[in-house]
Amino acid sequence: MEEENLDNKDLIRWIKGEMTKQENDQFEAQERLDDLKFVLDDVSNWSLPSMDIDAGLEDLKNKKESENKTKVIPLLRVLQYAAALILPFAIYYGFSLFNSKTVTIIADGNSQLSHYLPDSSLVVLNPNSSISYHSGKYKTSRSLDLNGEAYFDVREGENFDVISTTGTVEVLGTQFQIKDLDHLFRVNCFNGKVKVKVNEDSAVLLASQGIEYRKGDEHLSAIKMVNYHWEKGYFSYSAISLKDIVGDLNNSYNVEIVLPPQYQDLKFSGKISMRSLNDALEGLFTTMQIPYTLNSDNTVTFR
Amino acid sequence: MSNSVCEEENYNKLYSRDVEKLRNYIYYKCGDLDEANDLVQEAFIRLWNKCKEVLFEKATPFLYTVAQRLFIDKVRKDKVVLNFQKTQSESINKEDPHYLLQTAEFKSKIETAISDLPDGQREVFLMNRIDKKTFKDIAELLGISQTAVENRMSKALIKLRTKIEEFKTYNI
Repeated sequence: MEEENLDNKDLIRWIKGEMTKQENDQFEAQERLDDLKFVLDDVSNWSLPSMDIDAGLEDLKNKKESENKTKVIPLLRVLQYAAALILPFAIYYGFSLFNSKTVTIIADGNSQLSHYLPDSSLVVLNPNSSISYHSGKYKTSRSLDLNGEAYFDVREGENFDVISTTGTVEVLGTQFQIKDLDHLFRVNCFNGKVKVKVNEDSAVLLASQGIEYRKGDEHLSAIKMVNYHWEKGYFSYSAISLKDIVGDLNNSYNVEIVLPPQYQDLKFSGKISMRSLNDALEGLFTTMQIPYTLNSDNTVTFR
Repeated sequence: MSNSVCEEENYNKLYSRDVEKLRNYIYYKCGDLDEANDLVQEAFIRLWNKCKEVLFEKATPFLYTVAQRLFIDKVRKDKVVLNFQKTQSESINKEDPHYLLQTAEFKSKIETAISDLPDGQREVFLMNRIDKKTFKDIAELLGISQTAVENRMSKALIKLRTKIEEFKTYNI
């Protein structure tokens, strides 16, 4: 009860040293502040290890330089190639531009779709995803628009850009995967090197690195790579929360499984079949010993 | 434009002035010194990348905001355990009325009591005590009102007073 009597305003005036000497002494005695005052003075002398400012600045300098490099080198390379290659190719393909068209590939709600691009690069589209590109322009500058989720195995060659609603992925290497949903943009690089741009932020991913951007974030953040082998018919996870896994299932099977809060943060490692929802649920929840029932309308209830 | 953050000299000046206090702030939040050291560097990189957009005068609050976000992204610990370098007088007079308060054991109890304060109160309390920041400064850095800062502080003080009395009464 006494706590409530203590006037916050007075306490703040006391600690700021705004009281008169008389007021101060009276207040301290009345509120038994003697010990507290002693402790506060003591804590004021506590400290944390001091930092090595020069070493820190040096470290920053290196980090700043390594960021600059990724910006400079591709530009130089592009200029060299432009001079050496693009001109003759552009003249050659210029003719074919006249009789080319926009190609759109759509994977519907239930199945995956593989598609070979004109340069024999492979795209595997997840359900509910689509790509489109201009068949003529594609030959001179490999660029396509993506909506949804897809896996890419890119042939060697010049730049290969995937433009999605959230960001752009510039391929400097070969195998990678993009997931572009309303709230989440995620890129996993399996092999080679890709460059990801969202707004003004960019990052270069090397093999087995991943990056994520959630709606409302200011920046890209690095993630532990999630090994989705859905292009091979299964998901493979390593210590990933059930919440994220169920998100993948919802997306892939067009269902809306709502996971009870107590299970959301459990971690799962292993493979889950993509053949059917039934198989996937059995693989996941039986392993985690979570009782569930798959209803005929594809909803799931937990006991 | 002499005060642009993009100028190496200004940037370094900001770093030398703010880095340690910013690191301390992150430490108060997470209780992990290595993590705090990493995050503070990351925050300064972000500042460098945005140096054209951030005014020199606004750089410090910017850094605190970025650090706070980075912290939310990367570290989330259930319980914070803080460790400080403490002053320890060599000989304590047993007749001293503050004898008990000067023992290492008592100090470590206070340290735990501070660690156990809610995040907001702990940050304000330590920024004021250890980093000697005024309530007005803290309000500006954290983007909250000065009244809010003072409320947190007085709550922290009242809790600490109760703890001290408990420790003394049960003579632990």
